[in-house]
Amino acid sequence: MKSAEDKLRPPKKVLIIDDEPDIVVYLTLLLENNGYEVISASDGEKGLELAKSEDPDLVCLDIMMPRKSGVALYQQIKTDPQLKKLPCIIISAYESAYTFKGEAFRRLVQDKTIPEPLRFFEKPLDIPVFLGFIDDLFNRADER
Amino acid sequence: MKSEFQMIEWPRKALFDHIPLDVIVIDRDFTIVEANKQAQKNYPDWRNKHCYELFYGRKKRCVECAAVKTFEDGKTRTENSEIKGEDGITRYYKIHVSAYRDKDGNIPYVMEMANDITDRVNIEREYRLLFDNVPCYISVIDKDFKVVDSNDLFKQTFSRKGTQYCYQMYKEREKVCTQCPAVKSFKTGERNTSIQVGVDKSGKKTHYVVTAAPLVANGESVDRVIEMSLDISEVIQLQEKLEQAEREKIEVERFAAVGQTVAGLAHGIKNILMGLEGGMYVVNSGISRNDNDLVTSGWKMLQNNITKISTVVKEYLQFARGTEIQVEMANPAAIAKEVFDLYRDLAEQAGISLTLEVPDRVEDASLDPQGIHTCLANLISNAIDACEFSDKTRKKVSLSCREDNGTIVYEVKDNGTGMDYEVKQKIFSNFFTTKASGQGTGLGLLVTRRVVFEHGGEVSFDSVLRRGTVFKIELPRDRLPKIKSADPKDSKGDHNA
Repeated sequence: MKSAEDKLRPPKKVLIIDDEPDIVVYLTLLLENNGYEVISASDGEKGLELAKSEDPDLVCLDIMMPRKSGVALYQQIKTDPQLKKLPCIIISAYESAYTFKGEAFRRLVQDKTIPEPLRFFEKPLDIPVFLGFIDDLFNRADER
Repeated sequence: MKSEFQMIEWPRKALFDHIPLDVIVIDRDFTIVEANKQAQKNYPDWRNKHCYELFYGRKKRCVECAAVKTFEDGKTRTENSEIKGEDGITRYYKIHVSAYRDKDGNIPYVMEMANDITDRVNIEREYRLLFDNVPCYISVIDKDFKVVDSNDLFKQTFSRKGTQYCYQMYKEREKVCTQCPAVKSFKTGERNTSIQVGVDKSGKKTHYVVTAAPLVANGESVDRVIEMSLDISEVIQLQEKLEQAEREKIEVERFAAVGQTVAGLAHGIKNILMGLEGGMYVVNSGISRNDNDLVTSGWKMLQNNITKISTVVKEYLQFARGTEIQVEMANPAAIAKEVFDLYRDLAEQAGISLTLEVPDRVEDASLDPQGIHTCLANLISNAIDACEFSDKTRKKVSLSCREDNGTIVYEVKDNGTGMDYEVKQKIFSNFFTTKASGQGTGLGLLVTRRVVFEHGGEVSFDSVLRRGTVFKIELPRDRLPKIKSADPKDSKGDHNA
């Protein structure tokens, strides 16, 4: 729950990109209930448009999506001058978080200027850890 | 002193002189009294010599001497003789000994005709050497299947005490074998070859390829057959090991596929689990806010994910259970045609041109037609989806079947979206799907790969993003599964020599 102080600040905007409507509904409600503003897209193309037009504070990205995969979208965001500082976290049902770390990540993304994602979350989400991470992220960002 | 022999008249004398053999006449003292021209030429100082002296360099007459016997009984006889020449080379002769009788019936002389058979003996020796040393089993059998001659290797390997028939030696049988190539050769006068399993002297099972050829074929009947067998036990063992390794490889691959599927199942279920948790969260939020719409929406999420989990689990069970393929003789092109017919309308409705390319003739093959049907249907269905996602105006999917050097090749080609790197990495490994929720479980390619593996084949693909994808199924005929025979007896073990 947010403190009175938090409530005075404008809410942080989170962009959810996932082709599963159920997940979108779930994450939207979850984040809204915790004081975030949520926008969402059901595929990568729309997600990229929203990222540019809505100026979100965080992107939550799924990996396996039709048309444009999460990894391709991630690379586009991280090479776009306007978007490259936008924090991105990956939420996926991949078995191993290590796919997005170290050498495995470099096999997926050869461009060395592209950093690893901020954090990988495995589905189903561990809600307290997920919310805790996002809260910390924004508190830290605000403290700077 | 003139012998009576010198008195013979001209024609006889001429014959005597010009016959192309060494001919001598000896008296009872074994002194040579006459020699024809060839003998005179070969032995110039023949006169007044004893035969044993001239030919063998001996001082006394030979112990075994055909002439002695002929002097006694007057009978004609032959003997074999070896004579070592001055050059040290031994020559071989067949000597024909006959008596000369005078008016009173006495035998004062004996005539010896020596036929030089050195060349023949040498050739025979060479053949014998070859016969004995050739690295295969050779036996000569007569019409009763009695082994009348055999080479050393055959004797060392198969010749047992108290046996004389080939079926006893080769197979420890007491009767002529039922599929004997020699029987055919006796009958037809032709050469016959077959692969047989025998038992050697030490009781070891021996595989050999045997060729039976008529040895003596004088016009109509074959008196003897020569059987030449090459031990192929090691080849057979190697072949069995290879086949075993092949079977094990397919088994390992199948387990790997099931293993990956189980891992993939977890992946699929995690998504659904999140959907279920989400549904619960939405319902709870709706209840606590007293928001009926939110409750309804959450309830729909729950229903949706329960349906999904039941679909996934059912498909998985089908995948895990269906390990036994049903092999029969089927036409590979006909299966392609069936799948084509099944999808033609669907493709047309989606604005996709589906074409079929099959050659006029493809030989039947031992396949699981239902399994191959499923594989092709999966690939076509994927290709159609790939085209539907694509924004091209002319969308094409083609299915082809052909035979390439003993390999049946199916190809499914589309000009749809193509795949990028990460999709290519994952397509066979998981419940991987790029399709929208509810449209695919990601099992199709796994099932396809499993069925193809079970046919000893391979699935491969080539894909370029935005250009399209080709999936290829290759089934080498020599690796196809065998049809389970109705007759459980292994006919191999009953082959005969």
